[in-house]
This record gives sequence, structure tokens and C-alpha cells, in this order.
Amino acid sequence: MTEDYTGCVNALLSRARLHHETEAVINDTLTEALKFTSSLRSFVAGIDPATGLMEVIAAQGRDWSPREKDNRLTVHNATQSGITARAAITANTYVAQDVRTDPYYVSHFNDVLSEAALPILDAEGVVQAVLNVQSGTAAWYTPERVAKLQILANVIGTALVTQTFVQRERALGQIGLELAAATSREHLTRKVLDLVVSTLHCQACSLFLMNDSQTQLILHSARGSLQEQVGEAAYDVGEGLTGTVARTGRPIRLEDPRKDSRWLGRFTEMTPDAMGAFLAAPVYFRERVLGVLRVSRPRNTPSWFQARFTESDERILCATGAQLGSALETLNAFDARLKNERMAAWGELSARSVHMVGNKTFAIKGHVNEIKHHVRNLPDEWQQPLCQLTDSMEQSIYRLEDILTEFRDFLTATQLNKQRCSINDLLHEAAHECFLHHQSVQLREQYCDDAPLVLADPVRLKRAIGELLENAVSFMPRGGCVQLMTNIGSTQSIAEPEQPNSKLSVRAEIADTGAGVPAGIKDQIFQPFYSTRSRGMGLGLSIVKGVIEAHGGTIREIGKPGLGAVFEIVLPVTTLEETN
Amino acid sequence: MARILVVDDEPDVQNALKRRLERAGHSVHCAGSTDVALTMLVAGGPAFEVIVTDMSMEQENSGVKILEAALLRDSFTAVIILTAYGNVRNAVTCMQMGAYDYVEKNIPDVDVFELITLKANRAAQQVRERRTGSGPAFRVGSAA
Repeated sequence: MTEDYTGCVNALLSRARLHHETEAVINDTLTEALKFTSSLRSFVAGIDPATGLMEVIAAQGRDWSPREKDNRLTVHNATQSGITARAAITANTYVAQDVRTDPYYVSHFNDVLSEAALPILDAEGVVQAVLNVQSGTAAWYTPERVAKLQILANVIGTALVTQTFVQRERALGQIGLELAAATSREHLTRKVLDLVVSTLHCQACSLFLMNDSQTQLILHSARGSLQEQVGEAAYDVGEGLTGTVARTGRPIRLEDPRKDSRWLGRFTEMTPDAMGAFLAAPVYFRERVLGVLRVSRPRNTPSWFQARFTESDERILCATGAQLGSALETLNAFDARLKNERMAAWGELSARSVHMVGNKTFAIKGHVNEIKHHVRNLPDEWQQPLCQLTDSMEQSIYRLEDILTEFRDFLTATQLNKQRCSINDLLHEAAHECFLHHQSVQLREQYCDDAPLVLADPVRLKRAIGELLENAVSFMPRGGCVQLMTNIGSTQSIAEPEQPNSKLSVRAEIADTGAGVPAGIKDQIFQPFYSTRSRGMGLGLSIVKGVIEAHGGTIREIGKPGLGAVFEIVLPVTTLEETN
Repeated sequence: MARILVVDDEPDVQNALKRRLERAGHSVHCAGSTDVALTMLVAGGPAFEVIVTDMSMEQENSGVKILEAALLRDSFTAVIILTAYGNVRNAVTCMQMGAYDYVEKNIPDVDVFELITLKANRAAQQVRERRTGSGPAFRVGSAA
């Protein structure tokens, strides 16, 4: 090798480490390739990591026109023709010493007699581009010339790898900035999804977030065909590949998810046949999984091309998941603080208002009582219209008191007067009080005979059950069936199923045959003032949740949308020693 | 006819209770605050037979103070506590301390004034019986 050549390669290599020089370095390297091998033309074709399609990213030498570039753009899957494609497919240098007799050569320029194509590998040893040189002389590319070209191909490889690293670093930095600037969950996730799609060269990206009760992953946002199922698509924790990532907190990277036994293919970004590489990473904060971020690539790439995700892709997605987790947690903490402050202020305000409104209502009740007394002493023709008025006033006062009751239930949900009671009895009593008024609905009871007693406030718990039953009935205007069931369970943590210290618990289910609760609102229904009905304040289910949680229990809605609502209550069984 | 003291910081409530109880034939006196009520309880003259008092006035447990003072003056006095819904714990405390009964003020679908009058009538009768020695000597199980 001449001194001139060595000095030139050194200069190019120094510049190849600088990301802003990538394009210039590639073009200059192509020019040097022409010079040191006396070639007619040189070009670099890059491979799209998502689709496997090749396109010319830089070209030097004679006669390049846009049309010529276009001709060379695609490596046709069907023929896999062209020596550039050959180098990409085999990851080996291919030299056509005489293009006139070469089986793979596809002619684009009439003046070419020999041509060489050298694969350019990325950091993981995968072909990311091909360097191609052409000569007007047959058998031009001697081993010595090919060796020179190999070094130049390495220079281009270094420049491309540097560019990829810098792009990824920038994307991660950008995600960090987006996270810091995010004011809403929607804004944050939109930006992160866009960055993931562009950085990982994937066609589809979906973000599933854990629901409040940490039992289900619900599709929060998506790029690709799943966009239409946001709020609907859901996996139980542990279910399918996505649920597995949530359960284990570890990423899953597969070349063909369909071959994995955990794959369900229930909610896919593309049709199962088109499904290619799959990568999913947990979105987490500290050790807690908040959701799952997943990306996929289609299968309809050239058959030689492995549309797989690399270890580097996995690292990027995991880092993004961690950053997103921390940002979501910050937003959650902010929301929670805001909510707590709001609730505290609101609670104090409403406690006072309820007291004062209650007193005034009580006084008005007294006045109406007095009016009724005087009306009774009036002549008949006066009595009837006045009685109607006082009755109506009385009814209005009672409805006002209903609202006060709802408010007070909400404010005092945690004040319990506990005693040992049977959940079976409470369910049975509540059901029979409720079903006296609703005979169009069928009642089925299936209680576990040896359900242990729970330490509970029977009045409040029964009222909470009553609220759930009234709710169930109201969503079955044309009749239906309510099923009550109890069994013994253990309050083991879903996040740590192997935890041995699980406690004994009683599990009750109240299932109806109404429309059910859509996946996206399963958590919202327990929030104060959430109501789809015109009656009442919308505090009903939030009171129920407050009462159950004050008992150390949990409540969640686990029904399948469209098949009826199923409310599951789990109450801990307190042993006598714990009581004492 | 009984001597009844109504204690409530809401003048409208005082009037409404006074009117209704007077209609039932009782002699009704009113106090608009805990302090006024305590003064009336220690003043001379016969003790009240029945006291109807609100639980929360100046303080959450103002009614407890009235109850203590009333029983100190005359352990036969029947004290009916009016509570806001949900304040059951205070009400239970009052019952343990010897209150005659408690009534929630805002029970939907119930004319509470009729209920209070009914309870006041019964209480008045029991107090009379006890004072004359014809009723049970101790009506309360536990005054702890």
C-alpha cells in the first residue's frame, strides 16, 4: 500500500468518528475508491433495517443521473439479482470479473466490464450497506485492489455505525427532554412512540399501561393498526407475550413471535401472517412494572433478510421503558398529590356544607311538619291542594336528604364499626332487600359453606353490596340474572405470586348479565362523580371502593366487556390473634 | 306534660322542635348554645325531664357535655341526642354514658319530628314513672 493511500485512509478514519461528517466521509471515500482503484463508478447502497430494501445513499463517478440511481434502488426479492444484492445476501465480497458472463450481474451501465461489491457490516456483524465499484476493464478487481476497497468499506462502516450511535443517543436524549417537558400522559406517550418508531425503524409500536389494580394491561396508545383499539385491547398480567413482560419485568425479543408458546396473537399490530420480529420491554419505575412498550416489524421483507431486532434495539427500548416509567411515575405522583389536596380541601368543605345543609333541611322538615298540622284543621276544599304541596315539599326534602346521605357515606366511608360477620349472610341479606323491588331480575346464590368470618362493619358493607346490586339491576332494564358467589382465596400479590406470606381471604363475586364495563373505563368507574346515570351524584362506586378498602380489601371489575359486569371483592380474614 | 329543654344553635331548628313538642303538650325551653344550656341546667327550679340536644354545635361533641351536665344534675333526666348521619361513634359513646336515645336528623323518607316527639313522649312518661318510683330504678345498663 502506498503512503499516499495510508495517509488518505487515516484522514478518512479520523473524520468517520465525527457524526456530522458521515455524508461527506462516505462521498469522499467513494471518490478515493475511484482514485485508488481507477474505477469508473462507485456507490454505497444502504439496507433499510425494517424492510430489507436497499437504496443508493451515495454515488460517485461518471454518468449518474436520478434515473440511474432509481434503477439501482431496489434489490428485487424475487430475482435477488445484481451483485450488490449478492453481497448483501451472502455477507461476502462478490467480484464479477467479466459481467458479460456473470450469472448475477444486472446491467445498468453499458460501459462496465467488471464490478465488485463489498458488504459493510454494522456493530453486530449484520450487513448494513454494500460498497460497489465498477470498471470498464475486465478482471480489473485483483485481490490487491479488493483489499484496498475492503479497508475503504470499513471506513464507511465506521462512519455509518457512528451515525447510528449518535442518532440513538440523540433519540434517548430527546426522550429525556420530552419526559422533562411533559405536562400530560398523552403528550408524553405520543412523543415517545414517535421517537421509538423512528429510532428502531419499526412500523408499529404500542404502549400498554397497567390498570390501577395492577391486574391488566390496557392499550394506552399505538402507532399502526392497533390505534383503533386504544382503551379496548387488554391483557391480563401474565397473559401472552405482553403480559409475560409485565409479570417478569424482563424484555422479550423474538424473530418470529408466532413460534413462541406464549404468543396469543390477540391484539397484533399487523395480521398474524404478516407478523415479523417482535420486541417488548417493560415500562417500570424502581421494581414496579407500570406497563409494556412493544414494537414489531412485518414479515413481508425479502426472504434473505432477517427483520430481527438487535441487542442494541433491545437496550434502546429498555432504556426508553425505564425513562418513560420514571416520567409516568412523576406525573402519577403529581396527579396523586393534586388529587389528595383537592380531596382534602373538598372533603373539609363538603363536611361543613353537609352539616349546615343537613341542619337547615332538618329545620325545613320541622316547618313542613307544622304546616301539615295546620292544614289538617282547614276546611276540606283547602286541605287537598295544600296537602299536595306539603307532600311534594316533603318528597323534595327526602331527595335532598338522599343526596346528603350519599355525600356523608363518601366522607365517612373509612369510619368503621367492626365486628365479626359472615360475608355470605351480608350478601344474602343485601340481595333479598334489593330483589324485593326488582323481580324481573333472576338471582342466583352460590356461597362457599365454610367461608371464614371477616372483621367488618356489617352496616356499611351490606350497604356497599346493596349499591353494587342496585347498580347491576339498573344496567339490566329488560331483566337478566345476578349471580352472587363466594369462595376462599389468598390475598397474594399479583406482582409477587411466589410470595409465601399470603394471607387467607374471602372472595365475593357479584356478576350480572348486562352490557359490562369497557376495558378503558374499568378504573374510572370507581372515581368520585363518575356516573353514566342521571340519578345521584356519581359517588356510589367510589363509596363502595372506599368502604372495601377501609376493610383492608380490594374491589375490581373483572368482567368481559359485552358479557356483563363482574365485581370481585376480596376481604382479608383476620385471625383471632391479629384481632387481639 | 313534661319540662323539656331543646338545645340547638340553629334558631329555626329550635323553633320547629319547640312548636312540635308544645303541640304534644310539653313545656319547652330553648338554649341556642352549649354555655346557655349548661347555665340553665344548673339554675334553680325543677330539673328538666327530657333534653333534646344537637350533638355538634360549637364542637363536634357538644352534646356529650350537655349529657354529662344533665345527668349530674338529675340522673333521671332523659337525654335525646340529635346526630348528623354517620356520626354513630359519638352516638354510641352517648348511649354508653347514659343517653336515652339518639335520632339521626336527616333520615330520608322519615318525618323525624314525629319520631322525636314519639321518643320525647315515651321518655317523659318513663322519667315520671321512675321519679314516682313506679318504673325501673335504673334505666341505663352502663354509665361507664
